[in-house]
Amino acid sequence: MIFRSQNKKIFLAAQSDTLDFGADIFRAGTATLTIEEKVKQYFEQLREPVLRYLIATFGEIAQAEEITQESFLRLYKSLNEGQHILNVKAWVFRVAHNLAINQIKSRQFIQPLEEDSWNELERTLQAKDANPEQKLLQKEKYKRLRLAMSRLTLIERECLNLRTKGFRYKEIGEILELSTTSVAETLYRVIEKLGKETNG
Amino acid sequence: MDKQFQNLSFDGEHPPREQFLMFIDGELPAKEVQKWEAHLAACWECRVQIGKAEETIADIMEFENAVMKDYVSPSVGKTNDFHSKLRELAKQNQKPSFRSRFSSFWRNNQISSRFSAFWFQNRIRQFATLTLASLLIFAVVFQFLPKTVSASELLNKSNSAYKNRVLSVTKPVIYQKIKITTNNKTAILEVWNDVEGKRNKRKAANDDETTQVLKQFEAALENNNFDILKPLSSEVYQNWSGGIDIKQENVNRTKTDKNESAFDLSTKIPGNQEFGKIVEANFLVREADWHPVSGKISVKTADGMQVFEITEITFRVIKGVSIKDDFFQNNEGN
Repeated sequence: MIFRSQNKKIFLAAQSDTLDFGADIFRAGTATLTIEEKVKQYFEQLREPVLRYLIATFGEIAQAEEITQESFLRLYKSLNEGQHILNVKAWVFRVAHNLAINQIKSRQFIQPLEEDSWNELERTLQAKDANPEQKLLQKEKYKRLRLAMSRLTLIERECLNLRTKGFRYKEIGEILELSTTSVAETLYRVIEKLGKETNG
Repeated sequence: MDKQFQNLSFDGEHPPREQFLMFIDGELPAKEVQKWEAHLAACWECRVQIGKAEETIADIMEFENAVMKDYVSPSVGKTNDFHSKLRELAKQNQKPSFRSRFSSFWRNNQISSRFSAFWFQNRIRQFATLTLASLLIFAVVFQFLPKTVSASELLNKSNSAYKNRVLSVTKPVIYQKIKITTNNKTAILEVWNDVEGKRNKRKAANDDETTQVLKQFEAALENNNFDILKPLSSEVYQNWSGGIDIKQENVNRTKTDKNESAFDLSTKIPGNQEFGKIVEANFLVREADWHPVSGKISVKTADGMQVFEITEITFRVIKGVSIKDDFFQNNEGN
């Protein structure tokens, strides 16, 4: 009996330490982690998708890291103030998105990926292990995709790059302040446009 | 894309094009999904469309992973940079705010029951927290608010304080020295009251002003059934105001002349009064020992109102045994 209850405790502790983004971080087993430690864990797990989203959507490589870090610092502040955040992942993305929007508001045209970055990428792709024929095909495909992506509107890029991070339509709508229907329509257009480019 | 497919979809034989992605993404309601599945089992055409969409998605993800990999690869420097920023921030907010502690306490103490789902609804919890917080604040503020008392409470307290003080002395004689002011004229009156022996003595100066003031004052007291031997007594005041049916009584916080905190009891008698009757009276009681220190009565006269201000100069409870018997025999003054 004692054994069983101990096991249950361990199970609960283990469960709370794995980051369930949809769950309230304050629930079961919170005594084990401080807010600071929690935020560190979130940063470790979410830094990459946030960064990818910012770069792919706004093409602001230089500022993306800064915005990402700022988002997690704000997460700390909010949690420390006792704010109840149900969906931490969506929260961080929304904050990062808004920070990025505020920073690039003045600019009219946003490149999904800067030319320099692309050239650099092409070089790194060439160094990868693959037979020359595959490499060429891959390169061609990426080139077309990049072109197609650069033709997407900002909102299309926003929806696409959030969807690739695993967000549901409803969450995307919440992050971008759009209706779920608009998100569905936008994503449908994106797949249509990109599908035409890659599949001919 | 496919002419034939487009035509068919317009005929309603294929599901709407816009739903392809929603179907793949699992964003369709269960009812629609059933229709889709039934249709896809039968329709190769649509299965191919689904496959193409999936291919596009695969390309996008491949591109995404290939392109972004180098930019976002975990950098020890960047992570350390973030950790130090976070540390700095944590130092600034070392102690969790009251709100945070309170709300996490609130959350952690939820009894897991079927109510918890209901309880966890943000709005309700926020409302409950707010209500509780405001109750707390109210309680705290109330604690530090100046205490107020009702008129009867004030007189009762003053009365019992007086009695306690008197009873602490054997065969007490109460000595009171008061100043009476009316129409800018002043009289000083000294009164000795032997509580048990029912003996008393009054003493005042013999000048015209004193005589005149005391005469008017005593007439006013008599007209209103005040005990002239107890010019500033909560018992007397209580008896007087208790005998009046219609009155407005208020107790306000104030200060005595010596800047001690006190309560000012005011009794107003509305309506038309007979000449000589009190229209308004005030009774000032010191908060520290509930001792009456001053009073004021406004009496109706033919030409309006006459106001008497009574201020206590000295109050003493004397042991009766220390006073010679013949002391009370000769009243001086008046």
